[in-house]
Amino acid sequence: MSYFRGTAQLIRLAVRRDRFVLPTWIVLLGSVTCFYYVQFVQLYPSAAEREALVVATKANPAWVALAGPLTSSETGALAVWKNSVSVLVLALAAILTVIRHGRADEEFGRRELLESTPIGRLAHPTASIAVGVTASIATGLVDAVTLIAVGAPINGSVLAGAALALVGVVFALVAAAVGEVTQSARTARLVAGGVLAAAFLLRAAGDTGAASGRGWLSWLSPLGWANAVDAFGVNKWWVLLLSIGLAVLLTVTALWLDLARDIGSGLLQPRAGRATAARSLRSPLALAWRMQRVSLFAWTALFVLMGYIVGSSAKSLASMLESSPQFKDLLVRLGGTGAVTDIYDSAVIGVLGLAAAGYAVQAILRLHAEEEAGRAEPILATAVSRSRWALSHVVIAFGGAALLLLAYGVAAGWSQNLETRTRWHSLTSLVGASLAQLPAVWLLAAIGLVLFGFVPKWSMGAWAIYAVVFIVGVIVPTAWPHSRVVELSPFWHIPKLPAAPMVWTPLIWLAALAVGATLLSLFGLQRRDMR
Amino acid sequence: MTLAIDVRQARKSFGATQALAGLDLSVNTGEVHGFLGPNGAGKSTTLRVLLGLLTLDSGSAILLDGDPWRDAVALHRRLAYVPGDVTLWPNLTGGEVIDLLGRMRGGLDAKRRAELLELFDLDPKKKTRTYSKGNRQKVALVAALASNVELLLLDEPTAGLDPLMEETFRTVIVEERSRGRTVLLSSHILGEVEALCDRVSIIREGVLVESGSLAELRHLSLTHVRADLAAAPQGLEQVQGLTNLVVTGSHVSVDARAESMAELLRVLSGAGVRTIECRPPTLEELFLQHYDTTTLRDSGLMDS
Repeated sequence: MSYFRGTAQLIRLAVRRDRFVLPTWIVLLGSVTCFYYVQFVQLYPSAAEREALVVATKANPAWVALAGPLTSSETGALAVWKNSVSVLVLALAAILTVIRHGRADEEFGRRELLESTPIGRLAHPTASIAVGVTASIATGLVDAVTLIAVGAPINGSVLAGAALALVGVVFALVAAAVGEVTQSARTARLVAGGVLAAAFLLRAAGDTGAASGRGWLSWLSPLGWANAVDAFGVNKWWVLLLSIGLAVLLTVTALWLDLARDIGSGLLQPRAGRATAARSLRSPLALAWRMQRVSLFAWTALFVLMGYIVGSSAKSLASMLESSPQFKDLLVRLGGTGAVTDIYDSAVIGVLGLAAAGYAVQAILRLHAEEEAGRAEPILATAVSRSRWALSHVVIAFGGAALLLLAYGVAAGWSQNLETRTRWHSLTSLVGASLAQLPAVWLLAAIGLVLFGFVPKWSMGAWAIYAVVFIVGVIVPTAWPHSRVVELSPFWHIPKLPAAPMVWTPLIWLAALAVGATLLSLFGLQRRDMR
Repeated sequence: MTLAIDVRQARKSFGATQALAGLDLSVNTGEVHGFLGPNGAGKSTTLRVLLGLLTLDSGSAILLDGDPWRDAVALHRRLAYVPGDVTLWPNLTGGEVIDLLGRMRGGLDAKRRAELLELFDLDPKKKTRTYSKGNRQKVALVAALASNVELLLLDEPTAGLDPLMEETFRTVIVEERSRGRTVLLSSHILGEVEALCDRVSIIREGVLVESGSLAELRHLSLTHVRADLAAAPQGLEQVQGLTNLVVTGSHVSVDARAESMAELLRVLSGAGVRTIECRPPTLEELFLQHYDTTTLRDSGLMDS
């Protein structure tokens, strides 16, 4: 086994490097389903209510596209169905982990250093695969164990955990294979992410087109297989064999490609680019845009998709709400009182505001990443002031968040198509409601900026603050409806449009705070040492 | 003669480590100034202070008659900097980075840019992530040298270049000097310093230990003397400023400071000189003397 000599040490190295991140996503992604399980037990206690929900989801193509068909009215099946987003996140986490320890290691020359020690020729790719695969399996294990712990049937729990784990495993191996082909980690991430998107679209197209004979498309997608096991329903164990077979095939392919190529290269050679910069590439803002635009385009596509899904499901909402007074109660806590669709809209927009804040925080933290990588220095050594450099990313973060919320509002309003409202009315009210989130989004990003400006090593603390706001905004109102803790979140102060009337005062306050925090951060940045 | 750079009693600490411990550095306008010192001596910290990226805890720094901290933007129009460890934006090409940095600095000489790309044999169409360390350094060098600036701050600019490119670099720096530009060149490559620099400053542990032209530095350092004498020398122990003294019968080998030479020769000739060999230190020895703490203390060039 000289090909694999040293694999165990490399795995230990990878686990050491990811000792916080890996356990975090294993536990978080593994325990989501059991939360949904508990929620569904409370919201839909009777079989009749659950049956009504199944009927309601079938009538809604947007939900079928997003999460697949709901074939069983078992509580466990509902929880698994609702968990569809975590499945995608797990696939993404597996992709990022394998590329981080595979192609990225190679791109930055760490693999070369490792290969110079007496490790086997396949130890490096094997270790990166093993980390991604094992973490995925661990996630599935947590999923199964927590489901059993909250009282779900054992058979279904184990099958649901296995199906979840195998999605992670398959995409970990997709990333491994892609990482053998491309030369840069960035391209590998884009391509593997594209494969995931394609798998999603295939499944969505198959599931929504099942009636018109397109159902077979879902069977081309590993995400489709994860649904097809029908955990808690029929429990089709044999479907797991498809994923296992594909996993073996991908492993062999990745390792074979690794043996067939030189270390440091990929199968694809990079293309030549421009010899001179475009006329417009002449400022820190142009550079920040160039660096962040792909990410912003991807986020915008996501928000448009969400807008379309939420907007087009408004119609079937009423029937669904009638099936569960508890669910309506939950919506009221998140979205306030008013007409049913308005409550729903404002509840969803509150969550999207948080998502946009996530975008803004990561866009702002690019400043920190740039400084850490030593790329701030060459810019600041030119005739660019620190403020101008920082503001370039602020423009992208603040403007990008505005674009995302606008995109959501337009997509949701356009696709809403209700008898009770004109399309124009839907459009204006949802765009307004969506954009009203902006001051809170900006404030969160600006708080990250203050950390960066004064105590750069704590910049990542912006994520801790974000997590607190997220918990306060999403978890607390569902668990403790009357707690005043929720007022800590800037989002709580935003009027719950379109369900509640518009109030300008809190928006002006929040915007003023965001601007004030931004100015404060520039003051701090001008006074501190740069790395 | 005006000073392009004037640093006085500069102190800077990072937590417990003191990077600059009262550093003095002066660079005349129009000269190529070598900036030498062992790893961790504070060279990069000094350059980053001059760029206004770091504040001084105490002391002063004047750059092109301005305050590098307060007047950073205005001063940066007049200088170009090549970092020791060049990191670039991976998805931009080398050509794009050169143009971007040049434009942000306030303009780039397109003809000079093309010449330099040719001279350094750099392909500007490649994404910077595919460049080797040497090629990344070339990108920074071309961006700096193609700008119309008065002052070049270069932090070990040839550390990743091959000998051929190093030669090219020397040619280019000589051209820059003839155009009247001031260059502060931090380097470990002594041949490069000897070939290019009008004056050098040697720093160690955050203080200046020596500054001057190479001839002056040689004068200040130890000369190796070997002599075969007619008889055993008398009174060598009383001569001040000798190190590594070895007397084997009538054979003497010793390192002497310039001011001790007259006294040493007097004692030696008193014993009857048969052959004598005086060798000024090679550049390597000169720097090793300054880099190595123990030699420095033994020779009395540094207070202990």
